[in-house]
Amino acid sequence: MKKYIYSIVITAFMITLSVSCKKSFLDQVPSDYINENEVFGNINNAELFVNNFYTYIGSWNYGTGDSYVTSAMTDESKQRWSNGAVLFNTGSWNPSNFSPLSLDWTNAYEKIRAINTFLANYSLVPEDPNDPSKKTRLKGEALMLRAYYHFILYRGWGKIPLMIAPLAPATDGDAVFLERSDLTTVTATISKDLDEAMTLLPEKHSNNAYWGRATKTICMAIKSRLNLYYASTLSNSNNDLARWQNASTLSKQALDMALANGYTLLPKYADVFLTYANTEIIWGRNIGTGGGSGIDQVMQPLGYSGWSNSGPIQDLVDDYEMKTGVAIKAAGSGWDPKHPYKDRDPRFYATILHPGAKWKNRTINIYGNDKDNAAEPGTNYWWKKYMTEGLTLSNNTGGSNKSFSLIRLAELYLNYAEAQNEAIGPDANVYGAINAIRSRAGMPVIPAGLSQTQMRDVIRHERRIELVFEGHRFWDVRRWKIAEVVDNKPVFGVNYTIAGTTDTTFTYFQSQNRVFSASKHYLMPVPQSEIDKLVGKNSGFTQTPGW
Amino acid sequence: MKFNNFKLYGYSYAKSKILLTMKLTAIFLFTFLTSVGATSFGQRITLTEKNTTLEKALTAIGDQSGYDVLYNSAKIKKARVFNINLRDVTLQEALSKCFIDQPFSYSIETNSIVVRDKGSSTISANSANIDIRGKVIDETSMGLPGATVKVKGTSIAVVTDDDGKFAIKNVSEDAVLQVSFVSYVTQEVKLNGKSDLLIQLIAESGSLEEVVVSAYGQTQKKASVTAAISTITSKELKQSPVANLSNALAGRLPGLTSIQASGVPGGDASTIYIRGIGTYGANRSPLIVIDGLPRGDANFGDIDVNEIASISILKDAAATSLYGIQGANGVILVTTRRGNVGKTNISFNANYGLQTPQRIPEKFSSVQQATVDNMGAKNDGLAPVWTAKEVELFGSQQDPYTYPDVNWYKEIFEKYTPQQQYNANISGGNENVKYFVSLGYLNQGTLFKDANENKYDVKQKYDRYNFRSNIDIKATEMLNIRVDLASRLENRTGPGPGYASVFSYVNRIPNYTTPVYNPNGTYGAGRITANDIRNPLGALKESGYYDNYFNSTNGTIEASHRLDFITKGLSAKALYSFENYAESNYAQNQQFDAFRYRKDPITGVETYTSFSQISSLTRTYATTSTRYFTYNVQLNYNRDFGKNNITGLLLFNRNYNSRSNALPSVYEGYVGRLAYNYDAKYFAEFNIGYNGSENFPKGNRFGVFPAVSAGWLISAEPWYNAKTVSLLKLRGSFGYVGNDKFTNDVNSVVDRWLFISDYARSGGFDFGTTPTNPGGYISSRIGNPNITWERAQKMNIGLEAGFFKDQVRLEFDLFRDDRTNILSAPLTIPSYLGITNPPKINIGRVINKGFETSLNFKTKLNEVNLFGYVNWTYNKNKIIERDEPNLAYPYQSLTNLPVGYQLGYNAIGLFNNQAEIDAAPRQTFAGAVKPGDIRYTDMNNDGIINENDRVALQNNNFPSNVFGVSMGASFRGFDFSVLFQGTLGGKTYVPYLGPNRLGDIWTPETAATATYPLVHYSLAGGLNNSQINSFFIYSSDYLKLKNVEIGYNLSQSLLRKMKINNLRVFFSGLNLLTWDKLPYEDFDPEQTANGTALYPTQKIYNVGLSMSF
Repeated sequence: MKKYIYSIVITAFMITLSVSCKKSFLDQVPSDYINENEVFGNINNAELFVNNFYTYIGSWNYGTGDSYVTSAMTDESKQRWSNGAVLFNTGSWNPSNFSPLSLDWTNAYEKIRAINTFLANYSLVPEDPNDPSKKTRLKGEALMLRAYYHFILYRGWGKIPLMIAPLAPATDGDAVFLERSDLTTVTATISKDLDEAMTLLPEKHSNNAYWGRATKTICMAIKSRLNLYYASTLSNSNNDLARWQNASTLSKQALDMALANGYTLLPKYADVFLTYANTEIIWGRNIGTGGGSGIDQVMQPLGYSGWSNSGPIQDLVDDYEMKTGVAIKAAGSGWDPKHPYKDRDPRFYATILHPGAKWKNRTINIYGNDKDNAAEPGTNYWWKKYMTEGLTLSNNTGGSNKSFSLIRLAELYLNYAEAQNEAIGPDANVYGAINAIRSRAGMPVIPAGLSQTQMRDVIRHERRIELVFEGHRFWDVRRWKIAEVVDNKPVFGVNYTIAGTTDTTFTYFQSQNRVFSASKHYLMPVPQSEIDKLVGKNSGFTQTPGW
Repeated sequence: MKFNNFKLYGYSYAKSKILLTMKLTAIFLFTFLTSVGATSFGQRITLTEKNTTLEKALTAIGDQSGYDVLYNSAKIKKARVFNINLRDVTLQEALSKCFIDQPFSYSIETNSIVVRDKGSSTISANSANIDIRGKVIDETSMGLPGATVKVKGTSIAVVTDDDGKFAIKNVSEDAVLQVSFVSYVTQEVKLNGKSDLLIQLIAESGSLEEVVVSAYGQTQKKASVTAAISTITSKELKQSPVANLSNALAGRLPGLTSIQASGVPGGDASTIYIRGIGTYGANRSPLIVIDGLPRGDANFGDIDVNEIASISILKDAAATSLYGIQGANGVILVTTRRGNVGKTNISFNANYGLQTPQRIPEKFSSVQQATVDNMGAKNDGLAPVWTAKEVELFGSQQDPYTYPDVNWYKEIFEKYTPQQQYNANISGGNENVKYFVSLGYLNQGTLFKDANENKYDVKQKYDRYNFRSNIDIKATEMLNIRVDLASRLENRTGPGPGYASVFSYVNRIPNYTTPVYNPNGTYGAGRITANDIRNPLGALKESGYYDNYFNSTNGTIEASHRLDFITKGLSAKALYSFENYAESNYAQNQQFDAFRYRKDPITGVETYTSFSQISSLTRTYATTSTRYFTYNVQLNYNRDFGKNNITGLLLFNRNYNSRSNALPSVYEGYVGRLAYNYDAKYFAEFNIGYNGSENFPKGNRFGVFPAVSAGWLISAEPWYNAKTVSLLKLRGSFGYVGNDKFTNDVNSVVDRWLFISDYARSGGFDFGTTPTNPGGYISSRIGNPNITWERAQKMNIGLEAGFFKDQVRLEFDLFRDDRTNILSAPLTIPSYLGITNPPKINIGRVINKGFETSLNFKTKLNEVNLFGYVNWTYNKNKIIERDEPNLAYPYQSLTNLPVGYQLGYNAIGLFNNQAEIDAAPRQTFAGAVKPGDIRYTDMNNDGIINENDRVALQNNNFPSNVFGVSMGASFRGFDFSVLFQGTLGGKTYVPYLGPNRLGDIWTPETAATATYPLVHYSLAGGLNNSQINSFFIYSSDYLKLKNVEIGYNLSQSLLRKMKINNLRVFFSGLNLLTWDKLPYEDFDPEQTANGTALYPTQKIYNVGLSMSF
């Protein structure tokens, strides 16, 4: 018996060991998990949390309401690939499928939730002893961005559920079932956030490291744009002039504030899109050099190692006036069908690459390397706005950072001109604003004595030319309710045949036929998946009319 | 049955000796094979005869009893004549009556009645005689009572006593003992002068005595198993010349589904499911258990097959509940070989195989491709893509640089690549120490030509070294120690972009795109308008390489101690196992120079446009390492009380897995088992796992997973007398198991601690006039404090039957798994709340039902041994509950369908003409619909075909039926076996047009017979047909000639001279033939290609040799 004592001891020891540990073996505290206190209890971390609010503010790229794809969904350009834009072009978009714009719905609300989470935890954020304005600035940024994201939703859907608290089914029960607020409430709520943000933010940051962050001037500019939309036909079917007046006042204030803070129109139009953080940009963001899947790579012809993804359409090309300020189709314009790109608005040459244009030390040749794949024909025009000539795409060298402007000074002139013309008529302020834009572009001033209607056309035309590819047109033609005309017809591209040595014949081929239904296409449908989640639970929530 | 002229007396005339040996062997083999499972001594004899001879009487007794009677027909004539009158007496009684006053004696040996001269029991030659004693034990080291120990070549035979012990006096010291017992493999043991012997008998596979390994290394006799367990031994596994063991399981085990999706060297393992898929949750993989323990490195496929004794799958709750929280997907239990008592056995195995892809996508020639392009362009109203002259140039190859025709498969692929595998192992042992030591090497070559001629001088390959040493030590009478040590080294070397990428370049690049080289010798990159695909040869040879080392070492020490002094039958065991494994990835990557060459057709000017430029080699390096340990302590109890037998187990275990990239993961659990059987007829078991996982919040970590099961061996009942059905057993089980893993990758760090909310540093935004991203924080996860494990309720009913003395065996299992609490993302939270990553909740429910069956037969016709094996598994699952929104179109719901459905369009043929298109609902995909395009069902009858008309389609290559059929025969030294394996019920989506389908394309002329829609060239035009739709969903049913093996054992007489025990040469093949329903022969139907080709799975022709000393 003695002989086995040792094994009894061992066994007993092991059993005791295994069952008698005080701290449970499974009690692992994942120490790299971070809670609210850690994020918001430290103002530097809180700032990092705020930084991510900016990621969906929009850009040039493919995705959401970005300028590349919205440009291809309206009368600016045509996307070569058969996704996204094509759905809109053919009018076959529907609540189950209208990507990429359906993403605006989820993306904007995602950011609004993050902002609401920040605001709900704002009391945890300590003051920064070295920067007393930091805490309030963060709140100002949060409020401005909540307003901006709500504006993005208003722009697409009109009536929207307003989210001003981080609601969750687990904690709020049926309170999560919201209705779509009416337009007045929507705009008032957005304005309220902007107004509060303005009390917390400087008009312009003196610290260069803050370029791109929210300012009071940006708030004013957003307010100007918001009220312009609110006064436009789509939201203002009865043409309530008070709204125009309000828009005009706010636009003027925004313009004045921008000018007072040193924002200027750059002398050279093309530089606005190539010089990083230039003085014309009120709110902008970095878009890199354009190489390595950047904007240059996406837009340039195949022969330059680009992807030729989006071709400007003939209609846009034709809308550029002669450099004399006369439309090409007007009598005596001097436009030569055999040399159609000669003597045009200087902005044309800064905006569009056309066959025969000199680009990167050679001529663009649609019978050579620059030809698009036959499977995905383009228009034989390419974007030049934002393009850096010195950038070599095959090895991504020679580029430098560029900024995409979400709001630039020129827009404020155009906003003001439009609102003032609608509210008062074509007074000197209107002329002044429009001519400021044209003079910088190197174009003659507009003739005096235009009627309000004529002036309206001029302003709309000027806006189309000046702000092309910047993500405005798609929404402008909707708020003006002219999409049923401009986006409801064939679009064309160009070809030419070389006959002899000098004579060139240009032919225009139909690249696409576009369909727009006035009865429903002006506003986005709420994604079907969202409707499905609410059916039977939230009877007050309805689909956008027409869908 | 009688055998005349049986030379039993050992007269020493040399000539007939060999003859005698052979006859004896044959006779014993035969009697042995035909009597498997028969219960001895049960026969009753009735015989009335006057003046009968002994020969006549014995013949009659032999006929009635089924026993063979062995005697010398010349000598037996001397027997006296006698009268006999027997009525329903036992065999012994009958024989004793016959042998009264006869000059002969008899004995009953393994179903034979042997007649001998009285007193002439042994003839000793020139060697000394000794007295021997010994013990016969079974695999569990328990004494085996009733086994026959016979001195070979003599009539001396004894039967072991209740403890398995025996003693024989006066035996030649170089005699050979033959030890046999019903259901066990007969063993021969050379005495070599030893007088004290321990002889271990191994049960025949499939017999009731077979030792079945179950959870935590427990063993039990097959007769007493009440759970659903299927086992395959290494003998069958070795028939498949595979590099990864998981590929040898296909078709071999009822209840197992294996899908091999890739043939990448060193990365070709099959995905394995037990009883199909029972959840739509992310983790569907069974738990891998090696030698009783869940492992960190669960990659059992890379264990050398020669190290493996058996692989079992545990299917029902009774078998898996001890693994409780990890057992819901079933358990794969790998048992490695251990030494047995006996002579040292050295064996050496060598295999050399040639691999060749099972199938390779067929490619259009340049002319075909250009013609199809032009056809598509015409259909889309575009100008021809290629002029007639260009098409001609593609054909004539006069200008192969601008108009190439490169079959990249031929350019890049070797026809055959080698695979070789060598193993040497030693096993043996005595009463005190038993050992098994093995060393293995495997090498698998790559399919790519020039793989070794890259500019880095790096050979692309997969190398694997396996080492294992399993030792059992009997330290004292009561203490046994087990020490296992195993190690595996792997080295994978491949091209910079990886095998899969290079293969995808090859697959995506059409023949006409680019020449391999430009006229100036640079790599070609195709014409400007070609898609951006890298030159596959450049990617292979000049894009760098990777070198990936993996090593794994694990060791186990186990001490088990009998505690009979406390109470009889009690023992304790403690076990500790560690495992360290690490991987180091070293890669050098670079770009290579490639140019797009163009020669202007008019001016003849040549231009080279740079497509990619050489960059310097960039090194990347990453290592991960994992430390794992597990330990358990257990008390075992096993005791007979008369006819009652009680087995009990109480076990506590913990395991810990710490990785270089995450916090350790830990498990803790208590396990209990109580088994009872009465008279080896009635069996009942209760198993319980009480396990915890750190994945769940404190207080809710432990779950109880009980299972009850019972069995009834009907054929053991005294009243049972069915002759045909020699074995009949019923069993059933019911219980619960869980799943705590929410990802398929056991080492994944995602989805752990789902109850904790988390913020993470991520993203950020560029600010500043000099753009700088200060970084950002996001709310990365909202925790769900109610998170819990998936719970599976499992039911199983099984039937085991043997027919014709168990020559035919049938097993049938019916099962139902009810999986609840499936962790899934809630789908009903409105997105306007902005919750993009809603906390996962336990909500879904899936029911999985099915059956599996296997039929096994073995027989012998003259000298030919035949065997056959069929197994079939059927399962069907259905999603009963899912957090699904209130769909506007209920036909888009995935609830009430099997797992793996996807929304797509229901195709109803092709449009035949414009009138049909005009009359049909408008199909709204970009591009005009033309005759020949696919026509879809307007599900919601709104006159428009769009997303809302999509219906749930089966689009997963997951079969509902899997089956395997194997057959074989052996004759003298030859053996032959085949395995067919197949599946039914899988689907695959392949919108693919290859050269052999050109005739299927729709044209107005072929409208009646076309099986492929109109071709398009423009992307927009093709969109109608490229929507996921039922037109291109094909059945992936297949039948494969999975395995053929022909072997030859060299004759013993030849080998004896060379001191070799056994030498076998064999030829084997894998995946030799495939029959399927796909409309092309481009993909292996098993590869879930869905239109994208994957690195092909391989066919293997192998020659091998195995020898033992």
